[in-house]
Amino acid sequence: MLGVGVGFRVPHYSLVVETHPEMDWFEVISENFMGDGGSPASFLKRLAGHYTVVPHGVSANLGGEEDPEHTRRLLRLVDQLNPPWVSDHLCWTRAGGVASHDLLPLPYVPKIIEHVANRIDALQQKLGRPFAVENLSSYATFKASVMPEAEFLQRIADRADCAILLDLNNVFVSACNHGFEPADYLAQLPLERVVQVHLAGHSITPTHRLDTHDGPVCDEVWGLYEAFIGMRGPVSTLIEWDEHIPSFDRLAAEAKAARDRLHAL
Amino acid sequence: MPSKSEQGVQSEALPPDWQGSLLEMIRGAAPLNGALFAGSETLSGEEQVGVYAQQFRLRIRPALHQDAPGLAALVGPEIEPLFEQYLADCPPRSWSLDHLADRLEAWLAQRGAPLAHQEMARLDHAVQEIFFAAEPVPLDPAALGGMPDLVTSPAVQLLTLQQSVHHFRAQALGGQAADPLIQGPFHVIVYRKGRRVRHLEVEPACFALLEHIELGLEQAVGRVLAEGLCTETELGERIADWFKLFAQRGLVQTKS
Repeated sequence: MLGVGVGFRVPHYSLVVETHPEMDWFEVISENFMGDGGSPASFLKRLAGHYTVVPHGVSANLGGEEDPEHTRRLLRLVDQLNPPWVSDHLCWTRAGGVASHDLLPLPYVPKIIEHVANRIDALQQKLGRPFAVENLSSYATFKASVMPEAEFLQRIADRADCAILLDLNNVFVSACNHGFEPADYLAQLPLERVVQVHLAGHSITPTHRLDTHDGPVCDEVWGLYEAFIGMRGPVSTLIEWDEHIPSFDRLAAEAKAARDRLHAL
Repeated sequence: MPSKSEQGVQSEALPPDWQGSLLEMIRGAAPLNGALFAGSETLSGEEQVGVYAQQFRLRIRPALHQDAPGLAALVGPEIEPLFEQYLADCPPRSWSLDHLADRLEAWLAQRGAPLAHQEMARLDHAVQEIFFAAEPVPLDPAALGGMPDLVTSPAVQLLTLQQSVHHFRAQALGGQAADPLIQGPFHVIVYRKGRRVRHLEVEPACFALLEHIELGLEQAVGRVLAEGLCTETELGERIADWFKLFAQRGLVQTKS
């Protein structure tokens, strides 16, 4: 269990690598550090010299075809960081050579379970370490789906024998958007597979909730976190804050709020 | 309660290229169609796809501005329709947002855009590539005694520009009023030193020497002289300064 960490984001790069503030661990967006060198690589090297760093991807395109160059660069990053696991999302991000730069939802059907599980299995073997697949926030539901999202995730994780990165904000956002109960979602998951939790803020529009990572964790998601760790026990936790990024002290305070809840168990 | 799959409910067939069709809608190349989606209490199927289309625009446009800031400064308010058309014609192909502008110069050339726009797009792209390029390997003074084979560093690009877009870019992005463009040619080395990408305008002979450095010193010098860029005497007087510049700015490294 790594404790509670935060995402390593540009406004905090210098402060973190120069002053080494107290933090259990950091997560980096893999694709931001898959270039050949330059400023990001330099900061990452200094970060990894002082903290545990876990790469978290947004473009593995598990619901589509593999991009071998993406995989090659991910493996290079993983060799550099030697993280306990690697994660990416249960989604698709490109088709026909076009990149969406968004995490697009999948229809919950057996054929897709097989495809995604095969992709994860192959990737996990190349990585030589656990791969954790993360649930999305979604804004659309396919007519073709024949099972709830939690079952889809559970069946993929079982079939690929992989880990789960459970984003509790995403569970809550999707529950609000699609009208299911977050507690039912958690009850369906194989808890022993969850190696990490994501917590974040989101936005509320008149018609739906958006996973914007632009504010503090809301009370409902804190409640879900408490319920989850009550069921699962302590689990590595990560605060995501990607828009309107606050001072590092404010971010660290959000991490402490999660840490206090873990220690209260 | 058993799920629909456990109850043996069949899934509605998905069209063969459902991902490609959906992506065309999301990036605005096809009209929104909610046929694949169930909708919710507050959003129709079409509106659900619309959420993703809106997110695409909100994410991609600012990223393209970041990738091509010089062009945005040079073109002014008309950049928005220009970027919109570019994204329609050249959708993102890389998993990295840092490559959105990779085809911008060629696209501008194809539509007969002003040369300054094309050159600024080339300069923006060079800066972007150099920002993420591999680390240059500093020259080892001990190895220089034997005059090793040299190559330009990975974080270096050489641009011959017909318009002073490099001055314009530096001034505009530095918050200054940019001088009007003037005619070149200008021989510009774009390079990274530390974490910053910089540019340096040099005389043609110096530029050519660096451009041909991979051929070996003798041949590179021969090319410079053959191209009539300077006399032998001038070369003799300046070459030490040029190599000092190459070494100090990390423009060359030993061939591996």
